[in-house]
Amino acid sequence: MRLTIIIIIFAIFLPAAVYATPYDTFGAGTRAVAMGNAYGAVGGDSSACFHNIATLTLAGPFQLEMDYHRADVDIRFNDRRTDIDPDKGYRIGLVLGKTFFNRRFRAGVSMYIPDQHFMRFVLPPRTAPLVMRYNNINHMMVSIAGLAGQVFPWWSLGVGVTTTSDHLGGVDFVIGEDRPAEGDLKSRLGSEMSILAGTYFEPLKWLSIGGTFRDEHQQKMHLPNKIGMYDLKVFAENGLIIFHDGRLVLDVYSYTHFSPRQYQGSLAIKPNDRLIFSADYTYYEFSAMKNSMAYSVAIMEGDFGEVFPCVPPLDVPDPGLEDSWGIAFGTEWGAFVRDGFRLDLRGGYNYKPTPLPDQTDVSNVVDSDLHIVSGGAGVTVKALSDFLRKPFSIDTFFQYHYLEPRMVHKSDPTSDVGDYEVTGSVLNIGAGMTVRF
Amino acid sequence: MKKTQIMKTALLMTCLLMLATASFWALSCGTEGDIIGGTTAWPLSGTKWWNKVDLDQETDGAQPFIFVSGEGEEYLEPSFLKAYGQFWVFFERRSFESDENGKRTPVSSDILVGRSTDAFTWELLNGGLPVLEAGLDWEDGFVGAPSVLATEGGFTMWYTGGIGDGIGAAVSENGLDWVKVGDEPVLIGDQYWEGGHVGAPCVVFHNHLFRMYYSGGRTDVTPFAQFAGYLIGYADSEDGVNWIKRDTRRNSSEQGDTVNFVMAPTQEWEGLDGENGLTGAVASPGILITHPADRDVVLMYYSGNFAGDPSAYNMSVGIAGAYDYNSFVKGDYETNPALNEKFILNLDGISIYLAYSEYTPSVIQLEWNQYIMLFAQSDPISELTGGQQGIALATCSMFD
Repeated sequence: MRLTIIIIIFAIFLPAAVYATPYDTFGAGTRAVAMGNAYGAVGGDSSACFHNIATLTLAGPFQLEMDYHRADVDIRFNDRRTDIDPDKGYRIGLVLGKTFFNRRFRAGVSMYIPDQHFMRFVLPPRTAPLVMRYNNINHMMVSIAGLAGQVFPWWSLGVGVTTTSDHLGGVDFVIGEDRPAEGDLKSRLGSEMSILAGTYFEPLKWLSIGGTFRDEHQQKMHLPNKIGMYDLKVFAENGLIIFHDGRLVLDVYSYTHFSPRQYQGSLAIKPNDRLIFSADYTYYEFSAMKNSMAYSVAIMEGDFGEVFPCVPPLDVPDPGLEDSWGIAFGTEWGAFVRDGFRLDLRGGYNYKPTPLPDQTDVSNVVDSDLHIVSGGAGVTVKALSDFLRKPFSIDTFFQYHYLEPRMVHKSDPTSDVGDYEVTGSVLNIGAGMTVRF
Repeated sequence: MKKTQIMKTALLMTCLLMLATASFWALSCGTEGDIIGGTTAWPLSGTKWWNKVDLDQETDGAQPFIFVSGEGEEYLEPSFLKAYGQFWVFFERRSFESDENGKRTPVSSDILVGRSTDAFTWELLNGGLPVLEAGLDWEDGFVGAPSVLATEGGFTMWYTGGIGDGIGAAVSENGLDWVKVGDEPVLIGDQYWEGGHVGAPCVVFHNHLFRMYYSGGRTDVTPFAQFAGYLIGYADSEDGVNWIKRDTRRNSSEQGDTVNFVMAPTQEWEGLDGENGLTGAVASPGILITHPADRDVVLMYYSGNFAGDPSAYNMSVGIAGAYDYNSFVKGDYETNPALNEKFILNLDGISIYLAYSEYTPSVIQLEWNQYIMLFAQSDPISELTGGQQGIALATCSMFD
């Protein structure tokens, strides 16, 4: 039997990257999201693990949070809506702590659990358009855990680790036209980690300042696949073999779910107990992203090597992301406060210029300048029962993402995708509760 | 228990119940959506990936034929259009005579027409008889390579007469009964590169002008190129009869300039072989003008010919594009050739590769994300048993 070994870099159908974690795209925590994610100097719950882990010290000594969100994505290419799956899932948060020497110390965890998949990669053709902020981002479990403590009553520090789920494994099977396929799929969850840190000051009673560092996070995917095939006969009756048995060993490597290193400065002004104004500025190092286009090494044995394309498919250039920034503004107003009952109304605005230059070449990462408007309400009731003596809160939010229309012109008129205009919006709604003990 | 405490407890229980309900609802959603997600509106330009459609699944092997030619003849050069609520295909039937050595010589050609309501199931009209036959002196017994447009009151056809002797025009009210426009061709090969040879036109009407893409150049590099030429030129016209040739350097035949071709063989699959001095051939263009976003794209589907193949049966379909009317950029080697099938046959001790031949494409855009190509194909398996050739169908759509 002939043995042909062909090494192919960049196969035709390979996983392409999607970007970020659900937290990067939507934020974390019902209260924070409602306040436009301008939360780095607000804190007080487990979502601080993402926004500024040092503000965990503002949370109670034992509080449990659970919320659920659903984001319906309406992204359009040339005014035709894509069917990007809704982003939906739970966030479970827990804060535990003690006070020593008149200093508060807290441990917190904020975990996002999608209700569809713990991990999913998209598998489109390499040149297919991928909306970098929304393509299947929630199909990933994310957990941030950390510790925070007060150095002084007016200064807190915190450190933590972001862990995302990763997928390892691949298929190994043999198929035939006149017998059942044999083989198996080996799949298991792995993890990727990155660190984050924060600091929080209260220089004045009405002024809070926060600083946050979130390190780069990117998953390296490795999918070893082996696909074999028995002899293929064009006419089963006469046994004329047109395709001798072959084997494809396809090792796929890809960097996906990129979350850039972030430096965030935060400010909160609290004129009184019923009003908060907050603002965050975040610098994103998107330029550090490794080329998101997957590559693979394929070894084709037997007649596979004779009929599959023997030339290396074209290289897909790096989309060339540039460093970017974002600003967020938020407010919270205690609209009704009486007898152990408090109603808070919240609002916020977030602007994120796109880090993506015009994609005139083969790559088709899609993004545009993003405006996010949010709002929400929260009800806190004290001493709900003998069991729940501490305040109990229910919060809701909505978040509306608006992608500015962006026209993409291809330099090559034979581009398989061609010119397109991308427009889009996302409506994200959610609710949650906080139980304090 | 106090009344307020009962109410608070009830509120808590209600909240927990709502949360539990939402949780079960969310979990029950399962894995909705497609396996990939976000694919439905991906723009598709019509350049790849093209796949032949098996229209006869009861027969072994892919059978993309909508019409199969008979013995001693060949169907080729389809002109595919949607008009008056139906799909039409006008194509050339070329007849051959074989000598005692089996060498085939073309002796005549005429034009047949088929019609379809869905573009996949076709009927041959006019009882299978030609709707246009050679009769004028300059046609020399051959009319073929039609390009048909739906025009006011019926159809207009441009066709090749003779063996590249010129391009003629004809009009029809019903697609079956045609009247030739004048006794002379409307376009002749009068440029240096044409060598008196033009043919295989494709005419579109766009931006107030008829625009013709045709192939030309006299060559005997392959039997196919003897008819269709090996270079592609461009001309436009206000009335479809009086044509002005133009090129990318703004030369114009109206001003008496020497007008160059707009596309030549440059890729290996087109037969270009500098080491052996072979020019290859690009010919028989099919034009599709799309408007995906805010500008037009002119896509050219054309035949490329491996030079030196004595049977001419190693042709493939390639794609080029332009943002104007004649500055074409060819698809890269992932795109071209767009249709290039080969068939492996392993027999004891030997392995042979039979090349399908796909040529003379004509493409329409059925939906924003679906394109259909009609083209001529020869079938290598049937070559073993006498040959099967005809008009075949391929589609370009997301996840065929």
